[in-house]
Amino acid sequence: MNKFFRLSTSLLVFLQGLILVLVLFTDKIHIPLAFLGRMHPLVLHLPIGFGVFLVLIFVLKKWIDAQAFQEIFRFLLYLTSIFSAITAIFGMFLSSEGGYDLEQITFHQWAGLGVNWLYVLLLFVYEKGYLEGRNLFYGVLVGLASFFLAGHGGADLTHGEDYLWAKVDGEAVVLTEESVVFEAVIQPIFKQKCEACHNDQKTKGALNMSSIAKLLKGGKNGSIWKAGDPLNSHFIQRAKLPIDNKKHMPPKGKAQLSPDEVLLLTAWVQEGASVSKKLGSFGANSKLISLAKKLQNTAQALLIPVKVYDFSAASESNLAAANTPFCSVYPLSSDAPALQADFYVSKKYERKTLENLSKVSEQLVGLNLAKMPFKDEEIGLLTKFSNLEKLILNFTEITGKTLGELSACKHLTSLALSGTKVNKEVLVNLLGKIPSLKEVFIWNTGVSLDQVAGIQAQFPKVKIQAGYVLKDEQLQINPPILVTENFILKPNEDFVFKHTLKDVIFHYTLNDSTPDSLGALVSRGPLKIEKYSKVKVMATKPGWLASRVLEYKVYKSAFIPDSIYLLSKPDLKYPAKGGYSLKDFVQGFRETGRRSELPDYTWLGFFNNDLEALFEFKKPISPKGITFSYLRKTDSDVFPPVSIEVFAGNSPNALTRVALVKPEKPEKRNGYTQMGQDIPLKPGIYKYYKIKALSLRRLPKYLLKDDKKEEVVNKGKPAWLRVDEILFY
Amino acid sequence: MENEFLNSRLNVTRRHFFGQAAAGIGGLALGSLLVPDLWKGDSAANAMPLGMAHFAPKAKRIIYLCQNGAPSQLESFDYKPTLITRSGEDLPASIRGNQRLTGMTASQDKFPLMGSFFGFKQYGQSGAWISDIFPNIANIADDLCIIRTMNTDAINHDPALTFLQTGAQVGNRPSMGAWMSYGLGSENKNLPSFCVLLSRGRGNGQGVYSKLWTNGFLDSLHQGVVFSSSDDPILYLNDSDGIDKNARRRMLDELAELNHLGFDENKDPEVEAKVQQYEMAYRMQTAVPELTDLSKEPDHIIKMYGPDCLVPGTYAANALLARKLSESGVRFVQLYHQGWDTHGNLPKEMAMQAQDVDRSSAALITDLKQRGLLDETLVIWGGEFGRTNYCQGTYTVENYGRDHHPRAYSIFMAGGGVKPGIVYGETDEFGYNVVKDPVHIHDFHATVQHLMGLNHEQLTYKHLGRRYRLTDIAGNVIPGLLA
Repeated sequence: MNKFFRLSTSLLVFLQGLILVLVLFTDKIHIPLAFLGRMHPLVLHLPIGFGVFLVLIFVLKKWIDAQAFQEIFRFLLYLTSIFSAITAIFGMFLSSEGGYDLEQITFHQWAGLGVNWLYVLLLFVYEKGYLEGRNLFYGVLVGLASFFLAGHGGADLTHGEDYLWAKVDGEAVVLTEESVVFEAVIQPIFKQKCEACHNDQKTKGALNMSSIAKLLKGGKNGSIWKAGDPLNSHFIQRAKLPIDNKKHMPPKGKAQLSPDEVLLLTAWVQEGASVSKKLGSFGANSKLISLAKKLQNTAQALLIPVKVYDFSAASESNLAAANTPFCSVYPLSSDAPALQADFYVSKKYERKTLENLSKVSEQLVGLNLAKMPFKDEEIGLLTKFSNLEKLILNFTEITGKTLGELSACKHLTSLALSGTKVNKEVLVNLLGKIPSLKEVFIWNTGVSLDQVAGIQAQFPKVKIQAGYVLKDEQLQINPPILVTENFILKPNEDFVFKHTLKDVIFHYTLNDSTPDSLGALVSRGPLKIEKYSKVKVMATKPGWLASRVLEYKVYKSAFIPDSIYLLSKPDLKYPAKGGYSLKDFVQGFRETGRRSELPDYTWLGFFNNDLEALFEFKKPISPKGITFSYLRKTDSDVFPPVSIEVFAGNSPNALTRVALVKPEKPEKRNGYTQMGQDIPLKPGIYKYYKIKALSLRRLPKYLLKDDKKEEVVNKGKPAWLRVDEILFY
Repeated sequence: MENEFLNSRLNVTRRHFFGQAAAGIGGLALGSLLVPDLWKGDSAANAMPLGMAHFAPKAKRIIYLCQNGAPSQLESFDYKPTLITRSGEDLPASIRGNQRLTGMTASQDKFPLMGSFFGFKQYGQSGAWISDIFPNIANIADDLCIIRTMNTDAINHDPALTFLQTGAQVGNRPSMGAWMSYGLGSENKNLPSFCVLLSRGRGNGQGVYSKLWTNGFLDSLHQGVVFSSSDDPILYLNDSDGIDKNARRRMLDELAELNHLGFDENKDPEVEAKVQQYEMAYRMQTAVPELTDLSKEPDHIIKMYGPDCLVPGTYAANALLARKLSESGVRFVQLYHQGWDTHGNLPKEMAMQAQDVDRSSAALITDLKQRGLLDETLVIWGGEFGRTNYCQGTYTVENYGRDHHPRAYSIFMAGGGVKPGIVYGETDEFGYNVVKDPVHIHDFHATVQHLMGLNHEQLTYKHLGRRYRLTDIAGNVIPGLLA
């Protein structure tokens, strides 16, 4: 410890010597240590801190032993002396940069040195033992006071003289024809953005902008503008330099001019840089005036009128207590004490929660109880909310007979009663009792439109919002919504539709004719389908126009074979899952893009080969017919079978032909179509059915004609036969 | 093992570290005296308290009806008779100026002007011109604030939509809804504060991606929650069979305990976010059934919105659901309706698209109004950019297309403190350039935040070493739009 005090003493002597040199030879020394000077505002807080602690340590004196107290006191006194000296030295470095008011800087310098010397003196007399006990306390107290004296001078230098006492916000000046434009719009910019460094106390670059006269004198380079010539005006040039440029004004780190302000200053110089011209004497085309007005209008329009409430904010604990998961109570904004409360989830509504709001009854200005099972008896709970402005009671259970009690809410201006049982009498009574109301919402209540007109005439100051009026307009109903997901129906499956509106009837046809609301088949949901059909269906409801007609191809099966044996081999490209695929009730996928190159597992494909398959039923069946579903793509090379033959019998070896059909030959080029071929059967009961479908072996001519390319590739080639399902009905 | 433990310590994010350090070490206050924001973490970086409007808000909630794909302003709200009289003439070079073109029309050697296929009439007290394909919207013209001078920086859908939604053309900045959730907090603790509803029209469509409703660098709590377009809008919300409420509660409590153990170890703020999301989902179990129940809606609500509003996944159904969500305190409901990208076949596609949205968009505004909610709910309708005044591809009067146009397009807003019954801004007689009162996307964002009681310059989040805003470094509130 002693080593520290020894070293400190030497350091202090050295610093005092340095100070002496600096004070005596101020003008002769140029110190290239600006960086240390800039540290002055940082370092100065250290001695102040130590100085404060020197005083505060007397509070602790009772609890620490005398020896320790003396050691700490001495330690702190050394530190205060050393750092006040360093601060003073750095301060002198900083002042050599210039730009400060001479009188002020001189005062601050000597005050700072005074502080330092005061502490050095204190240290000296303390070390010599001349000062102790209570006097010691007075000594450090005087030292601390001296800090404030010196510090205040420093602060004035940095922030300007009236920094402490100046008004925080300037008021917006209203522009009139008589306004002096310079005073109204230009000078305020100088005040805000420039004067901090160009004022009576601190005149950087010898420029003082604090008054018109001083401004007109200009800086060390003379006048800062050239009237009518913004490009050659010094301050405009500096303002437009990139921000990283050393000469950019205002300097980097200080408040910058906004782009609008630069435009405004430029326009002012352009239009003569007059400091006395009135707004009225500028021409109609003055860019300066239009800019000024625009800026002012923007500022005014964005000026948010702060609503002043004559109550204070609710306490945190009351606010927290009023909140529940199903009732949110929250401040409308951070600058006002007003609260809003919203209720959610009707089945969680409790009277208790509403009673609980009394904790914030004064602050509540908005309350939303929409859809809550809130009743007439509970209106009384709302009368406590003396500052309530907007109340929403839409779709609550009130009838309105107690609404008059709300006259206790003297500030209530907006009341929403939509969807309640409120009627004309209630409304008239209400409007009479609560004169503060400006707006009432009564859509979907017992108040009829004719009544609204009458009431509105009686209370012209209140806006009565009646909302949407059902027009005598017929709308087209939306079409049925398909519920069934698969278009290949199993034996007990129906083709099922639903509709989102109640009491809708579906009209449909199965024979490709357009349904109408008279002749067609009718259902309210499931459509009975017997066999492969083209279903056309639409929805109707009284009071609505019939819907669009929807079209579907539906396949239906009544018997599922127990086994299927493929007697001919499908092509390797479309093996599907063998015979099983003919009864898997999975519709063939449509191939797109690259997938068409892959073997597909939902279609059985035959190329240059016929389909021959044996169907086994363990119990003999008597179907009305068979549906053969296949793919047709005549713009490519997938064609219907040329003919389909059906053989039947009770043993696989004794089958007789029971049907032969020839599907319609395609006449035109057509795209991708999934088709069904109906094969009616005569009555008969059999266990085995064999089906033979012949594929087309030579593509027809028209396919070759249209597309030259295909002609070469497909000439004389066979067509594909692609089969999806074979269904017995 | 020891290594893994040490590594997990490194997971403490820098922001977290400074946040804690700032709270813990009072001595650093000296530093903050000299450099005012030296030690400020992201939360302290806002002079304004979070989760609360900065000043009294006009709008408490937003419903954004985003018309994805860019509806043509020339067939909706910007009536240009000149285009009809000069149909077929080449677009004057002086009008086009240096406007870049998309790859789709850049190689066209002529740019034949094209008038609207649909007629226009004037509506409301402002005499706003509105196209015949929007009869219901036209009927509420006095509630609308039509802006004809929106303009954007991007010329293709994805960057333009991303710009519109997040304030930047690159992805991963927080979406408007996420900013609102971050800045204002949630109103109803049982629902997410930002919900997204998707639908698709019959016109040429453009994709929507989750980056449009992302939380970006904000907590994932603020991410938009996408509702399914099926009968069951929020999938997997119900407890599975055999799990009762109490069991679910116990499970969540135990899980939260485990998660907090994890959080203590790795200090990842996303763990906390996850715990809160589980809790939110639990509370949603009580709140959602009421939301999706349409049985209590009066019959003529169905006529108002059109019968499609009962078909899940349609625009009309989403508009109705949006009203119910908003009414239940969801801060930001974002709809996207795809199908407006009319490069060809415009008359037919535009008419179909208009048919999808006209009745229900108007109904939504009327419905809010009749419940006394329009003054506190801001409804926005519009796309990401406009369409060219010249024809793309073959030119015929019945069948034409329009390319992308970023310089001027129309949207409308209603309620929530915007000036009702006005038409703001003017384009030139060709509908190509703004001649008066432009509204850039940044200005639009600034204005919308202003209406919500937020100062767009003060709602910031510090990320990767700098502060971000929705408007980033631009944007001015447009006073002419405020009531």
